[in-house]
Amino acid sequence: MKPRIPNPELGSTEYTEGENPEWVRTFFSFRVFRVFRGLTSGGLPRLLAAAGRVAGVACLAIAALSHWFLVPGAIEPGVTWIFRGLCVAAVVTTRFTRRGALLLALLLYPSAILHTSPGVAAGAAWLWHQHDQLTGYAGDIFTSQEMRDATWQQRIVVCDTPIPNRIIPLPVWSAGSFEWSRFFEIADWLGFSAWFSQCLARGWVLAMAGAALLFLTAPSFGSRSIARCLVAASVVFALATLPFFLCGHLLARARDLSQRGHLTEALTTLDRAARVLPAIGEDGAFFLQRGALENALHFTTPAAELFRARQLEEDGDRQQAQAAMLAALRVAEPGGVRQRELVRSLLADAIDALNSGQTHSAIASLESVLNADPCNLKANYALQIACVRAGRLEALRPLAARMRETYRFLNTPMKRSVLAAAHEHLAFAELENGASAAALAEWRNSKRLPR
Amino acid sequence: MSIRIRLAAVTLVLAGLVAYAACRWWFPFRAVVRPWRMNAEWIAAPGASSSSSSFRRVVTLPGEVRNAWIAIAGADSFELSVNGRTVSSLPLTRATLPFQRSLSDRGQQVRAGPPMLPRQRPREYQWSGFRSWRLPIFVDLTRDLAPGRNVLCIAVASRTGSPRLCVEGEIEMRSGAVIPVRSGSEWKAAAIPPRAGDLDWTQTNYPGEDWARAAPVAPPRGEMLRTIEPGIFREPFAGHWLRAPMAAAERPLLFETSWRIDGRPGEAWLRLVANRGYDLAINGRSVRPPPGGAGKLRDGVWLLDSPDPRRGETDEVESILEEESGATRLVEDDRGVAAFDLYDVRWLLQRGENRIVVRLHPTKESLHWEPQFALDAKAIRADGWVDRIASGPGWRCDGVGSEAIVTGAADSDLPRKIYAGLAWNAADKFRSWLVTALGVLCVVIGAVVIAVRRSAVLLVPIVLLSSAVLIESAWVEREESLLFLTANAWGWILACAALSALLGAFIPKTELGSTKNTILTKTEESESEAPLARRVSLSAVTNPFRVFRGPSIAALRAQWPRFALCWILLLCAWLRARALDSQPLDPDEYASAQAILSIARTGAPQLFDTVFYTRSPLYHYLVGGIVALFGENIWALRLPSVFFGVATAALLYLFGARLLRSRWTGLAAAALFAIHPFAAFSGYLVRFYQQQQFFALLTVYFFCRGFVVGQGMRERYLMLAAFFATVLSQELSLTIGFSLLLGYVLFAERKAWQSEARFAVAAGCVLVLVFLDLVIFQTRCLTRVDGISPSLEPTLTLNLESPSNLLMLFMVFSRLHLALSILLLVSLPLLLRQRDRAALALLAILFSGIVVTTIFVTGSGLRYHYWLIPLWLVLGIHGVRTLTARQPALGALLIAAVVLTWSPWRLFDSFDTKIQTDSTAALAYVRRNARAGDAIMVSAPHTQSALLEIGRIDYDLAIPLLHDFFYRKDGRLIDRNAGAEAIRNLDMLQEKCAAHERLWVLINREDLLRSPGQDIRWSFPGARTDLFLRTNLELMFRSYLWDVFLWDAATGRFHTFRRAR
Repeated sequence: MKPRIPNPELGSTEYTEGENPEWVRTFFSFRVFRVFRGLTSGGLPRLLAAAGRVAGVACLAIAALSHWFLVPGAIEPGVTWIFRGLCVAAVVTTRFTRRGALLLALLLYPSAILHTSPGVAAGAAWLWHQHDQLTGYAGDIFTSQEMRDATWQQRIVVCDTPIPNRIIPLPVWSAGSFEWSRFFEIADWLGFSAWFSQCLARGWVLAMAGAALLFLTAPSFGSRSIARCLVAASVVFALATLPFFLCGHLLARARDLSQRGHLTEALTTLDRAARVLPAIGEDGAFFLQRGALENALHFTTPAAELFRARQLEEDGDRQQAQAAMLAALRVAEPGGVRQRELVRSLLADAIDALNSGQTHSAIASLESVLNADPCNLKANYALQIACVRAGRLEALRPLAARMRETYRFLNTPMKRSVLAAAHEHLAFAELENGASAAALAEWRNSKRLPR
Repeated sequence: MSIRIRLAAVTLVLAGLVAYAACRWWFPFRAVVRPWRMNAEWIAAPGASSSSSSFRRVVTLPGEVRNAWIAIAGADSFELSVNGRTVSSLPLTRATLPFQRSLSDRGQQVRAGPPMLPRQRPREYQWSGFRSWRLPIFVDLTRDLAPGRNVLCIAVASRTGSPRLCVEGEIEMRSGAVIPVRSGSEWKAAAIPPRAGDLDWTQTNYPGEDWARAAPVAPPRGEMLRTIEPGIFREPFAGHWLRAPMAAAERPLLFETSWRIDGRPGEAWLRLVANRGYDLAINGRSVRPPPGGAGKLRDGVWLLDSPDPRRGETDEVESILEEESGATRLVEDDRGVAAFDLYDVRWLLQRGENRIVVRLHPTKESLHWEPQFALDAKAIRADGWVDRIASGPGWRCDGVGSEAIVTGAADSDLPRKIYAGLAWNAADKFRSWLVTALGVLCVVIGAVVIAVRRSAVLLVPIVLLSSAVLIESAWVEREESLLFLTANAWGWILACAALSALLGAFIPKTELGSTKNTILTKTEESESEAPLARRVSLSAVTNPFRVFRGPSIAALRAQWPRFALCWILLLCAWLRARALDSQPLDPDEYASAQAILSIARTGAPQLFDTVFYTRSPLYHYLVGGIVALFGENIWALRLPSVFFGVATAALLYLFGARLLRSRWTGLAAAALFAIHPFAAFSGYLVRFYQQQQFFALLTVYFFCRGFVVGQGMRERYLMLAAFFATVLSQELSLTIGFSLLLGYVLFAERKAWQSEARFAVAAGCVLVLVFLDLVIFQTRCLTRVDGISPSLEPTLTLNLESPSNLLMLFMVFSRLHLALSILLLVSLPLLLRQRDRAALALLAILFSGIVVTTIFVTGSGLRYHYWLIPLWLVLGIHGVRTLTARQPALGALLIAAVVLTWSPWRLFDSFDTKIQTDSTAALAYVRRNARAGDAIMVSAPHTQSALLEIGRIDYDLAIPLLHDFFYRKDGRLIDRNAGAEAIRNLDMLQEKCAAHERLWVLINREDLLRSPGQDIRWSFPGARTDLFLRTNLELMFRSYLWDVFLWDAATGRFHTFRRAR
């Protein structure tokens, strides 16, 4: 039995290397091989710990080469490269606190996306909202369960019209009105929300797993170090919430100024709020509020134009509003907040047309929406139903393929129900075309979607 | 230095707590509840007890109404309809949802914030429901009553089987006559309102004369309260319409007056009616009007996601209104048209002159009436003196520089009054609280100086005040929060804290055992160094039997933990078994019961046809064996869970006594587990959760014995066995393996390779058996589905669907875990610093268990974290013990506070309450009344319930259809549990009605239709079916959230579905 010394941190036993040959000591003196040091003397626990460290290193290495956060139609956030670099750095460090710092840093990844690539985060949130409207309890897939196999989609109503896109709950409450129920809201502020978890790719998961494995199997793992890491984490996360409170203060100030009629100052304050927290600049309601202000100041800005178009819509001038929106859509920046808001309005209009029996008009509107926003799940689903009704069955397969491709970016297992509906549409198309075998195959495919 | 820092920290903590209490007492800036008594008797429907009653009263009015109001207290819920139109409602909800959550009159909610853990349908606890009747809801009826025949209908539902109603109100006629509206014998009542043709019982021409008179009953236990001054509804509106001379619709108009109040108002309200949008300001603080609806762009008010800007903070708008009457308006606003808003303005008024300003918004609409408004207000001073003001002569109209025109009394054709809530100003609150805090800090510093000189114990007031804050925070979502909303609640708490500090200062040292500079030295000195008297007093707390020295009780002293544990286990068993046979089963329980009964009869867990329920085989076979031995009864089905609940409590004691080396910790953890409302509820269900929790805890116990505090191989093998039992009790428990692996790496010591190899082989065998179990589950339990629905069964998959679930266990529903979680968090640094291996291992398993359960199990149910609750509990108690290691009495005080945050009285009150929806009673009714040849339809997923209770089931009403529970056989879509044909849309339902002479339809209103009241929620699937059932079938019976309808073709009423004439 080799000599044992107590672990100063956990009080457990820690194993020395004993009298290993010189070449073994030399081998393990290299930093990269230190993870294997306990193999010769530590027994199964050390063997597992070493295996954990190896697995951790492997996870980090794969993470450095993998995608971390993917949204259709958008490039990966640039900040990801910094985190990849951290992973590489973590492989070569053995200090426990550094590994703890890596774990902490990785937890800040969603927050980093929020601050550095709000457009990407907004794209993810936009995609999630569409899926949620399809599969929520009062959503289209649920409400159409009654009808879809009984009447072949003919009586299905696409009920939900899209809501304004929102990445985070806007920080509109002050510290004075804080209560414990705001806790989850703060978690949303830090990015731990559906938009992040749904578009998350393998890289971040592997990096977290690798960092956790290295952290937990570190030779100097101990309670004091954990305490230090906990304190550091608390401070860092408290600091991470500061921009939100500052933004909340600025929003409240902008509201006061606008109520007093100081619209220019209100607009300036809004801009400051958006600079402090860029994510709110991608918020649909925020954009419209901004449009209201700019409209009152007689500015000719995209937000003001959208606001005026919405007013036309409210006044009943729907055609004029739609024309204005379509014109604006042609010049809108792809993937921007303006485009999303325009798409939202046009999509709502198209859904109304579909439910009103104006199928061809709906198809035209939905196609224009999909031209501008090809990954729009809601428009895709509605267009499939419209095509079934209009007998344009040849359009279904490309739509289903596009839907499948878009859904690859979402992690939710509930996507199976929407994809199954797309396959049912295809089955119907094949049946209408007289290809009963192909229809049966599609029908079976609709039930065999992988989880 | 250390002592000074500690003293400063104690002073700051104490000052913070005292300041908070003082601010809450003097400047609450929120609703204050006051005692109130309704001048009416309680009534109920005559006859046997039922879950709902309908009350009806016809009021014939000789003329026009000037003012009418009503205050309603329904035990436990109510829905008021006037002349067929629903006016106000407070539906029956789960006790784990926030108090008054679904109240239609949002302004009267005592708290409007979101719940801490938002879930649509949280898990139930063993809790009685809220006594929402304690806060009667005021409703304005002026607009709803017309000359002639009027009918007031109130539906009351109860979870205790005794729906009761108390109503007080008045109808003041324009002639001056007053018609009182009080609950009494003039009200008619029925448990189930009988049909009268196509007429609904709430309609005016419904013939309700045959109904029996309501019977007076004893009032429910408890005191009635109010948050609003009744005069705000009771008193007729006294304002006069004001207009501006030469008013133009496109310009904003400003009206202003001054109101003198010669004393600080105790209560004050203001009512304002306007025919367009308005801004109202009192003393430069705006009173935010109700929003016009989210997303409405024309709202000039900034609507940035504020959920309910009517309540709470207002803006400080110093002189905003007068200086900007000509300023650019953001957008024209029609929002406030026809609004009649009522505000509580007590915190905006001050002694002396008060300036009230109203600005009417411009509008582009050309068809509007001229802009006008009317207002009245009332302030009641502490001495009872009343000050009033109303719009009328003397108001200035600064927009045009002249006096406003009075066009007449605003006493007719007014919109319905809506109570908007309390208005207050954030800056006022900040100023008041800051000044108070600074004052308190000075006082506390002085007190600390005196206390140190007099050797007083300052920790006691700190713990007392901390406990009060913890209790208040935990009760926020419950009815109990009303206690903290009374005017002097925090005053009493402060007095108690002060008294405790004084007692500490003035009681002789020999009695209390205080030493010099107690707060500074107590944590430093060892018990052996403490004075003898104090040691005796501490010993008395840690072990009360030690103070007795007589030989006659020596044996008792040695055995006291066992006696105490026995009592705790008895309590645990009693709480779980007490209502075991009276609580209805939920559909999951019925599914398990179906498998258990099948095992008892045939040896196989067969549900229907070729469908087997092979999950959790250990649980189902164990209970199946018990049922085979003791017969098919509810006791044999539910008692095994009770047994495992008691065993879990006993095991918790061992955790404390053996792993954490504190019998007190073990006893306290066992006691808290015994009264834990979620554990008490889950502890008798015919489900595997309690058994899984026990075996999971046993696994952790043996893990600690085999790898952490000891290294015995026997314990290691026992751990494997317990882990295997856990997984066989609930397959999702496989995730525990990750936590064990982590613990093994962190804590295990080296063994001989042979021993390790043998153990690894055994572990491998266990994993193979687990794999086999999963394979059997996949092949024999599941059926080939006919489609895919958005409903997901929980499964083992890597996911991060809800990151917030990582925090769920530390809060759970109704903030149950909040207080102990805070204490655990505070004690965490100390626990880490102590480096106790057992505590560290338990912490590692708790936190890793939360993480792996969240990221490996899909779905967001608390039930998957259920196995972690005992660990959280024992670590929380251990944390409290560590925090108060030298002051066990204070630890006991904190634990008592934790117990209070769990509202244990609701546990004892819950035995007569239906915790879950009462399918059992509904099915029993059909069993008694169904004839041969009748068809039976039940809403999904309750076919197994019907099969067990009635013996047969024909149809499964599944809207929307969730394919996971159905499969296709012989061309028909049938459900997996009972083979009932799926009815998935209204057409199919109509076909079945046409095909049968009599068809019973049992509906769970919570699962299927989601329209608990008169108004149908059209956004949910099944709304059309709901309407069809209500209008074409006859309601025969109601139990808690269940309706039983009967389609009877022989009655001749419903021969056709074509409704057009």
